[in-house]
Parts: sequence; C-alpha cells; structure tokens
Amino acid sequence: MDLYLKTPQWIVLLTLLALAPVVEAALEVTVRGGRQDAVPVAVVPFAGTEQGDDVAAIIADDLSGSGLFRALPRNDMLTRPTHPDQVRYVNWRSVKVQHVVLGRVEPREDDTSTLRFWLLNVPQERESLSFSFSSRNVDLRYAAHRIADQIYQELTGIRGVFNTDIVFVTSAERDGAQEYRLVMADADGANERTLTRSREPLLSPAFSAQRDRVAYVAFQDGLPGIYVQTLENGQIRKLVSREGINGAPAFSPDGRRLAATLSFEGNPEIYWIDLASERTTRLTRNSAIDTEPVWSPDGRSIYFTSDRAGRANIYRMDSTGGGVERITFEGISNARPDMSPDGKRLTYVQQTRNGYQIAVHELDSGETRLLTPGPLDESPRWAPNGDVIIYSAKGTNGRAELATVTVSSGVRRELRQAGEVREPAWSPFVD
Amino acid sequence: MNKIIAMTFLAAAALFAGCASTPEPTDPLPPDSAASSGSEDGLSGSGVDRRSWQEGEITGSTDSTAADRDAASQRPMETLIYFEFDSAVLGDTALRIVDAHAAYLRNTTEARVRLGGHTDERGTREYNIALGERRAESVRRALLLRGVPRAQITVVSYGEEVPAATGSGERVWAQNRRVEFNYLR
Repeated sequence: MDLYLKTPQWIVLLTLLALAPVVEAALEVTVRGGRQDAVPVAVVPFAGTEQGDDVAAIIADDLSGSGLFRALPRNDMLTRPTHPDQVRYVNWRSVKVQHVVLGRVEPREDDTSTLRFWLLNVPQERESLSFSFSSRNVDLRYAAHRIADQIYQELTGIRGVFNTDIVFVTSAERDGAQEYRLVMADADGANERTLTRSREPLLSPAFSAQRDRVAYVAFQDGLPGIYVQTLENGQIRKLVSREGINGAPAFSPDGRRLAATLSFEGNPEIYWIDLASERTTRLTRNSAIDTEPVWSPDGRSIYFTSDRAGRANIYRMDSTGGGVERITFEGISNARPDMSPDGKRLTYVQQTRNGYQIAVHELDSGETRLLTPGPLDESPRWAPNGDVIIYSAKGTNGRAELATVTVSSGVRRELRQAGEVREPAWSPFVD
Repeated sequence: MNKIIAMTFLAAAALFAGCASTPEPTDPLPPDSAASSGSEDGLSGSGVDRRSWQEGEITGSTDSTAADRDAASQRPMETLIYFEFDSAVLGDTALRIVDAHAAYLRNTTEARVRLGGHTDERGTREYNIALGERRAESVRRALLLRGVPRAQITVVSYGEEVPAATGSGERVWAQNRRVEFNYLR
C-alpha cells in the first residue's frame, strides 16, 4: 500500500566517493530501491577531460544516482566517440544501451572552456538533444551537473536537481567536545563547505528563495537565537534572541520577512519578523504549541504544526494570521510541513505505528502516501523540482544520516558520514 | 591559564556580539558578481559564485558553573525532573524535587536558576523545542506557586538537541525527557 513497499527490494550499491574532492568528511552515497527497469545509458568520456574534472563520470553518477538510469561501465564501451559523426549505432545496440551521451570540452584562451554535448537515441538512431555553452574551467563540475539536468529533463520530463546545493547540520566530537557545523554541499554530497561552526547546537536551516541567505537557529551561551547568514561573504546577523524560544525560521517568498516561532509572550506562537525593521507581528493566538511555519509559494498561506487539538497536526492559516483550518487527520500525529514549489503538495512527518515516516499529501484531493519506512525519519524538505524530498533518518549505526526519496519513482538514496548528519534543506534552482 | 582561556572566550564573544549587533543591510547578491569573462552564450554568472562562500563562526563561553558547584552545599542534590512521552505533567517525585528547590531559592535570594527543558529524539526538532519549553515552564509555574520570585528563574529549551543519554529505546528516551536545574549563581 505504501509506495516504499512497492519499490523493488533489491539494492544498488553505488559509492560516489570518487567524485568528491579531498575534503575532511565526504558524504557517502547509497542508492536503494533503484528500478529494475532502469534505463541503460552510456556516457562516453568527453574529449578534452583527460586532466581535471571527469565531466562524463559526474554525469553518469548523477544519472545512476537517480535510480532511473544505469550507466554502462567504461570497460564495456566498444568505442569512445566524441562526436556524433563517429558513432556506429550497432556498437551501442550490441551492449543494449538506449541512450548515448557524447561531448567535448574545448579550452579557450581565457580560463573558460566551451562544452558541447549530444544525447543520442540508439533504437531510433537519432540525435535527441545537442547543446553547447561556456563555463569557467573551475566550474566544470557544475557544468557537468547542468548537462545531467538537461538529459534528465529530456528523458523524464522532470527538471533535474543535480546542479543545486543542499545545506545540513553535522554533529561530531572534536577535541573532546561536541562540534556542530552548518555545511553546504553540492546536491550529490560533494564539495562540502562549512558555513558556520559552533560548540552549541545548530538547527533548522532554511534557504531564502533568492538563494542568497540561509536562516538558522544557533545557541550562544546556552540561549537560542535566529541568525541570518549571507552566503556570498559569510556575514552572520543575529536577528532575534528574545526570552524563550527563537526557532523555526522560514523566509517569505519575497525574502523580506521571516516567519518564525517565538515565545517571549509566554507561549510558542508564530510571528512575522520584518528583516529591515526587525519588527515582529504575531500571527497565532492559542494556548497550544504553534510552530514550524512554512510559506506557500504565493506568500498567501502559512502551513504550520499545532497541537491545539491534542496531538500535533498540520494547519493552514492566511499569512496575515487568521482563517485557520486543519489539514491533517491521518496517523497518530503530523508535524514539520514543507510545501512543494508548485504549491500543490505538502510533505511532513507522520507518526504511525511504525514510528515516524515521511508523508506526501496532495492538497487538492487530500490523498496521503507514506514514502519512507521510518522508524525515526524527520525534517523533510522539497527539492526545487518538486519531485525529490530530502530528510534525515536514523542509520543502522544509530547516528542520523540524510536520505532522499523521489516521489515519482520511490527511489531512495542515503548520504552518510562518520558523524551525525541531519536537518537538511535544499537550495532553489541556481538560475 | 583558565583565566587566559576565559579571556579568549570573552574576547571572541565580544567580537561576535559586536558584529552581530550591527544591523546589516540584506542586499541581494550583486548582479554578475562572479561572471566569467566574455562567456556570452551560457552558463556564466548563474551559480558559478557558489565557490565564493565565507565561513562564519559562532563562539561563546562555556561551562561557567564548575566552580560554583563546590559552594552548593545547601542546594538540593537532585537537579533532574523526568517526564512521560509528549507530556509536561509533574508527578509526585517531580513535585518533591520542586519543593526542595523552592525552599532553597526562597532562602537564597541571590540564587539564580536556569531551567533547561529537554525531550527525547522522537518527534520533530522544533516541536520538541516547544515541548521542552512546556516542560520547563511547568516547573517554573510550580516554583512560582511556591513563592519563588520570578526574577530568580529563567527558562530555556534545548528540545532534543542535547541528550543526556545517546541511543534509542525507552530506557534512553526516559533519561532524555527532563528538566535540568542549572544554578547560574
């Protein structure tokens, strides 16, 4: 009945560590529930990449990592063409490949290169996509993700999210004490960059829709505050640290306000905080817990968690406050909503007899499906294409790790490292 | 030596506070801040500036209570109150502990206590922050009812972020659903 149970129970083990540059603790990626009918593709090594980033390998790993495609190992390629004129389709039919990706990286005089690539349909013996663009040489990794995005969109109809970023919180012991880091990485877990380090807990990171800032909660001297960090220069602004809770920040779609949970008036309530004036406006009035606000993309609604009916459930209100309606009725409790970029679906954590599982909820029909097995899944956030959800789960070693689930295919991926990894958020599209 | 470390922490904290209290304009990224030269036909500008990030740092002094503990002879020994799942109700054992702290606080007007609310790992993190506060608030209310002046008590919730015990299962969870009495002086 649940989608995750319907997915094939075989496991594709895919270690993408090779992709990662030398960093202190790269995320290791495992794909589960990949499709038995995964489409075989061949991504031929690009001309001009004998040194530097292996563009074809990055594309192949992106496509395989989606679980929808299976990349042909290089050793099984009979030929390695780098232009469509060199292609003999019979060679690719013989190794049962449906699509072939070819390309070239041509350096120019400055520090940039021209990238060309072609996507060929083997059964139909035709070119289905070709494209060229330029990239800085230091950004070839992103160019490769962008090519993977275009191929994914051409073949599935859904925009790829390979050329996006994620942020997450890590917790590990260092020098005898716990250290928390807010980390940004490419969507494939490579290229980790520490945004913030602290000896006290960090939680609830959220991107602005403009992708220029991240808001989060940090403790300092034992007291929580909401901080806004500008990504370009690392500047941290302590926005609010009032008595009680300062939590659950969520940028309004226009990036000018935060919705957040404050309790300085005696009870956890949802407020607006205007980023220019720092003025707070209270939106909820209820003796229960109201928290975890998230905006609809049109900015008109705020969805949030409240236990006003006894157990935690998801509610909607007008973003000016008022007009409250209850959204969830299934399961034991429901919490931590996030809204899809098209405003049509929610994801949240549903408490069931199996523990805590990630659910997707169609707002038009009210239909709800559980996407993950639990027992301690939490913090779901949509990817910008509205088809992938990233969340955190308790790994077999007892530590938190990240996972993604693709709604349309049920494919799950796990991203783990030595310490705890949790509280993910996905960036908007880059362009 | 400890003093030097403390000074360093203070200096770092002061430095941080200085930065943080200055309201910063929240301008969006300057357009084309990292555009590659002369690439008119594609990828330039968009996303390439993802490498130009800077690391920020949050610092703060830690553990200021160690020295205080020696002088705590009259303070109640029990400083932990435990709770049922998703509950902030104080049981009989909890109320006996509250009584002892209330007596101490009434007699020691200079004492200041911070009530730290905590939850187990189940449930979402921000909901647990709210639940931890509800627990700490229920202890505060019980202290106020027993005549402790409001000024002596502060409340903070850590939700599930600072577990007393790690792992899963009811034995671990029960140790983590707690309110801690932390005497600041």
